[in-house]
Amino acid sequence: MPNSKLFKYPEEIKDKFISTKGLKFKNGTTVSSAEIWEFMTEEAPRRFPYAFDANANNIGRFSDDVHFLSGIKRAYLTLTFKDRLLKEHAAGTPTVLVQGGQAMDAYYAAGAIPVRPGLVMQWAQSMEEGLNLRQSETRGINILESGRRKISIDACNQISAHAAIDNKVVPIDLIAPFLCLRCSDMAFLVETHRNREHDIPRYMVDYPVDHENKPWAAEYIEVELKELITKIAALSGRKITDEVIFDEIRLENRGRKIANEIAELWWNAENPPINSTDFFAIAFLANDFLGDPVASVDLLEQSKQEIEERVKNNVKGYGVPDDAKRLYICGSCVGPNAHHAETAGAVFVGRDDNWSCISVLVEEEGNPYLNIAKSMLEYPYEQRTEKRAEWTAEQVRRSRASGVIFMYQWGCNYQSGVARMISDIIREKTGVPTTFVEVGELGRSEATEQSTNRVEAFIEMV
Amino acid sequence: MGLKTLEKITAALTSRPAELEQLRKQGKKIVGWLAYNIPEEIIYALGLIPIRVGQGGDGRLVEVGARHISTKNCVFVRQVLGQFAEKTDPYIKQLDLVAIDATCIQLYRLEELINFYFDYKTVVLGVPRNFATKEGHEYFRKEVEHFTKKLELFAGVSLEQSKLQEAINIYDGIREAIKTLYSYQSKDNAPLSWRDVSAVINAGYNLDRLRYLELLQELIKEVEEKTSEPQENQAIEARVFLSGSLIPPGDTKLIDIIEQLGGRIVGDDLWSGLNFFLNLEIKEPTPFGVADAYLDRIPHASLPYLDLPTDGRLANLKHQIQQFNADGVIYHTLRYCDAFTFKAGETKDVLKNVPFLEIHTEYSGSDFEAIRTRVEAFVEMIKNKKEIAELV
Amino acid sequence: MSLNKNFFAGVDVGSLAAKSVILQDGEIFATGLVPSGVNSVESGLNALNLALETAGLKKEDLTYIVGTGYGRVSAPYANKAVTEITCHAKGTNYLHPTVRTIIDMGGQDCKAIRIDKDGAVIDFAMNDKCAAGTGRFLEVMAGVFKVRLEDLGAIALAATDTVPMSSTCTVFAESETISLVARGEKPENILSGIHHSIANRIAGLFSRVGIESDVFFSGGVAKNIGMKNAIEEALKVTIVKPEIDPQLIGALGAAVLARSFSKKEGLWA
Ligand code: SF4
Ligand code: SF4
Repeated sequence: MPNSKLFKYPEEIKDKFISTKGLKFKNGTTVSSAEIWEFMTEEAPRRFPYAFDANANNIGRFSDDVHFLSGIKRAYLTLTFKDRLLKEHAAGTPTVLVQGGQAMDAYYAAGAIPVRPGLVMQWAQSMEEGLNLRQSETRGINILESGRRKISIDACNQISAHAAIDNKVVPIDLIAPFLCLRCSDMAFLVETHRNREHDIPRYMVDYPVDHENKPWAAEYIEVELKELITKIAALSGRKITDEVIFDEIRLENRGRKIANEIAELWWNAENPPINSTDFFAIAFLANDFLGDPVASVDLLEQSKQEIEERVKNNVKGYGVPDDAKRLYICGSCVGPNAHHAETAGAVFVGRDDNWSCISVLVEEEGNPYLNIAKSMLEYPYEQRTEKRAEWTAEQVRRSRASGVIFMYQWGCNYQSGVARMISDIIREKTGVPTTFVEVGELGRSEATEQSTNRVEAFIEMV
Repeated sequence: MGLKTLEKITAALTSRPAELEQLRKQGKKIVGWLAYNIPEEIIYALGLIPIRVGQGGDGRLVEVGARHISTKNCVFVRQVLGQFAEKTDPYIKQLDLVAIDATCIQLYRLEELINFYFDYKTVVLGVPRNFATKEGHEYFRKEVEHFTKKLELFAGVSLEQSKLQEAINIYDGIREAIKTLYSYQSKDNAPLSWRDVSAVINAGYNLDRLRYLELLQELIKEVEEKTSEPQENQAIEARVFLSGSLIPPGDTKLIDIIEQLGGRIVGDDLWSGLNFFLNLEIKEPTPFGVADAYLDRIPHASLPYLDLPTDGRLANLKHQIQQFNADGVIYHTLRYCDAFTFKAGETKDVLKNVPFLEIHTEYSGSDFEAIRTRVEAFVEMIKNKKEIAELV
Repeated sequence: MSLNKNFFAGVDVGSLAAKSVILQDGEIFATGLVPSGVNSVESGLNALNLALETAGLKKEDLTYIVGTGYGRVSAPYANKAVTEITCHAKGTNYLHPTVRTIIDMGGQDCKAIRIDKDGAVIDFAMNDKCAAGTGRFLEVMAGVFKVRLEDLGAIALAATDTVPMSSTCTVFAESETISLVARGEKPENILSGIHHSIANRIAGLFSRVGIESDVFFSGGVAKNIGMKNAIEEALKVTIVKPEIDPQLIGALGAAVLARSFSKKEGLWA
């Protein structure tokens, strides 16, 4: 694996690429496509060789649909994450550890950059440059193990993020996630920081269970959100008015809307216009915004245009097999390797986790705190399991999926608790075959054959 | 140790399932409850019969439960699921309603599963993770109020303040009595052991609460009479304090091992033990009053708390260790019970020089020998230390 | 009776081997080491008899016998049974009085033991059954690679690259390994990864009990040089060179305890 080939963007697309629009960023600057090309072909391969490792096991491998030019820009956002964060942090923007799969509006509005555990891990890994894939994974595992050592090997790999914060591998100014019903480890891992040397402030926005028809649940979150925003504003120095929050909500709503439109386009297209990797990146981008909602929304718009073009011309995304088996993916934080699945004849049509986040818009008038609280409570993924499963079954139908894989991570007690029930309900409602797979490899590329085998066997079955 | 009242309690327990059958025939309804923060007072005051369900220590039932949940979930949850699946437990098969609070989200998941797979009627009580805040209290008040309304509908009566006050008085009495028994069992020459008290507590979750209170008071009287003066020159003992994940009825593996190896359990801060009865003071006989009191108890480890120095759980632990004059702590963590497992290292740090042993286990017998070795070495270590201390 | 005519024995029956040490007048007089069979009483007796044979003694010549290890629970030949944790502490202290921290890796489990200057245990931690930090696990790995257990460590030392492994439990570790073998990864690189991953588990144990120099490595796995190096790296310590076969430390400690118990019980003055 250490000697595997490095991926390169072919020169013949250069001219076309640099003729496209650049990316606008929230600080008002624009990076031209020529600059992006330069970064992605010269600087990044030198600094982050692991990201260009062409090995099919490389879980973070870029899409090889190089003609989907927005995909290159999306990779650019990923690889510049480190530089952008460090720069903003140095300029006084607080960085906040948050939960993935939740609304980010409040954080960005308060002037912070929210960073979910997965991105903290990537960020921490990228702090040392010039590493190949194996070296980078070794670095990741060392961080992971230092965390497990302190807490427990029963913890899921999210513990890496907390270890990276503890060990000051990356600068995080506030640990303040939303709790939710998906994640068994977040609350307890946040708590572990109270017994550490650092004095990074901490806060949690609680997420009540069984909140349907209970106005007091939203009111509870509303108060917590105010507290959260006050805490962030104290660090960012930003003056927060309702209007500031609504501006952010409107921007992020736009991102969510575009992502939904793209999903509809993709689902209804005769040929999937982009491959699994590119498709999943869309929903993720519209939930996370990768440190810069302005750039992300800009990119989502560009992506949509390209996809529309492809659908019109009936172009199939590179990598999508003919007569692909359509798989819907369930579960938090881990998913099957897209390259392997496509080689085995399948394509991914959706993922409950990320699609849940983009499926709910925040209301743009009234009390912004309460609106965000209400939208959080509406996430299909965070409903009672039966309801979540029904929504997922509906997604399975709409995306015309022919199989469902529920995957969960070692140590993820809440997902492991419902994996069977959700699979059962979906099968019953849709008649589509389902399976569930437990993996111990979040964020790993090496030695993942076992789960790959199971996914491939399932694809064969479908 | 030949305490007559203990025999009476055992007898009452034996006849209880049949008694419940009769009561049900007369139209009484049984509410089984699970978890850590269900306000029993309210169930009782509505004329419903509260029974705390859930047992441990049975590998076979764990397997049954694991058919519907992953093997990566807490083993207690798996076993209880197995119990609900089988419906052979004399109490579980008689339940008209199951109430579960969301202190531990794995138990909340269990509620969904038994409702979906086995058609139990269930009711959930939300519990705020930000339990120490004003908004957390506000939320919980509404939750308890809502919970009460649901139970009222189920019982077909509305909650009367006087009835609630009556219930509170009974439960206050039970709590006081258990505390008294705990202080007796830890004495030298105590006529009853920690294990006896534990059996009494477990029995109480099934018995009629008023009858139970009477039995407890009778037991205390008997214990008082039978407590003799401690003799001089007691043999060196290893006084063990139990902490960590709950040790429900049926799970005797660790307790057996400790006792077999010459350790003496003198106290605990378990939610299947003493903690349940501590620091609960209902100031006002209303759902709101009940809510505040429950939330202000010693926090359960499932509820995260972000400031170490003011953590009530740890303060209580330290206090109880002193109170019972314990020599060391055995901290029991069930596999995949993150609430307690993740805090093991920290708890050890906080307890500083108190000898501390974590036992991370499940309900299978396969680790019996490994636990034995640890506990034996721990007891050896404590005894050695005391021996040396006695020499100098 | 005077001390120097007394012989004391320690018998340590572990899951992989049974060991025995006979002590006379504070000196190691003889030792015995045999593979463990299914019957732990027999294994213990075999080890003891081997030591007796080497020493030219009969069982009746022994003043006191202490049994330890997993076989201690059923050791009718012993006067007393003590856990291997206490025995490793005593045995190590006897040979290396400056040692304050012991890593013991046997077939079944792995222990982190902290001791004081007199060899009394201050604190200890043991791995859980699922953590892949045991001799048994290495045995399985030796099976996967079809090499002898003794050679595993040396092979790992030849690694040109360490495959990152994050084995949460034996099951995952085994499947990771099989994946890597199937992919044609070099055995030495995989083995290096396995040793490092086990060393990480051990470092986990020490995060609970702490480390103080000097550090000693006892038990059967202590002879595995690859393991020793990986642990030194993970814990950032130097391990004291053992004076005797590190697998015998438990039995030695048991013999040392036999001596003090018999004194306490007035068997000699
Ligand atoms: S894998 Fe599960 S427990 Fe871990 S971070 Fe994701 S949701 Fe939380
Ligand atoms: S033992 Fe732990 S995980 Fe299991 S129900 Fe109790 S708190 Fe929850």
